Amino acid sequence: MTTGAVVWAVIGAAWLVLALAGATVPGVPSFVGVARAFLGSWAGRGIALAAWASAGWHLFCQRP
Amino acid sequence: MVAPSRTEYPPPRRGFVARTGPRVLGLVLILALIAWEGTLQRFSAPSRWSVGSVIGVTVILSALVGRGRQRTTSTGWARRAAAVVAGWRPRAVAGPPLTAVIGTVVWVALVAATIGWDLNSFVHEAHELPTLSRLFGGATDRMWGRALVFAAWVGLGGYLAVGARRRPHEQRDAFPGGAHTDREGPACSPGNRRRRVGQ
Repeated sequence: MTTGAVVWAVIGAAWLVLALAGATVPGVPSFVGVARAFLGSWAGRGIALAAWASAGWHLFCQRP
Repeated sequence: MVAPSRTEYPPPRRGFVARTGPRVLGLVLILALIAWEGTLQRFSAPSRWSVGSVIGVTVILSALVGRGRQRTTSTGWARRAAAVVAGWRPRAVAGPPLTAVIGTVVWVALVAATIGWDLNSFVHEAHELPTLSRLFGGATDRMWGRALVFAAWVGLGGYLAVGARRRPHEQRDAFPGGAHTDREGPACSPGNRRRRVGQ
């Protein structure tokens, strides 16, 4: 396993732990809570949709 | 003979096929699109057309479904975000509970770590330092990987387009996502009218 893969595995595990904590521990911001904060207005929704669209285009249409 | 009222309440119940048919048809179409997308190559024209079409349809759907149903205005949202950032204090000085402070700090640290390590890998361009998109690229090179990631992307787009909308009986709020929304709704809302009738 390369250095980069190890670091990505650690970061991924940390995201997983944070997701679990957000879903179970009161007060910790959850993924849904953060998403809802963005989706409350057209500006936030526009930012989220633009990020989603560019990620999809990069992932499925360009060379990652 | 009295003509049926246009504002009849509750509205007449539709049949099973009329209620579920469009949803089933939509689901089948989306599944077919996902399966087809899995067979495409990254650089092909159909791939670009399909992804571009999904983006276009999602944006149009968001505009149609969300018209007048945002929880707050863009100005109010930006003000609120600026106030949260400007007014953020450690627990010793003001308000938020310790778990919220720690959770927020971990969130910020993880986002910074993800972006920072991705940038570091991108700058070095070394085989042992893959970027995030190269990792995903490895998965989307295979048919099932591409189909699964595409399904997740379409699902996320659907949520971003139509999720977290203000319900018709809810009032507009200056604080989206919080507990400040009038969940009961005004006295004339259909939900409250039903409750009153049932009492």
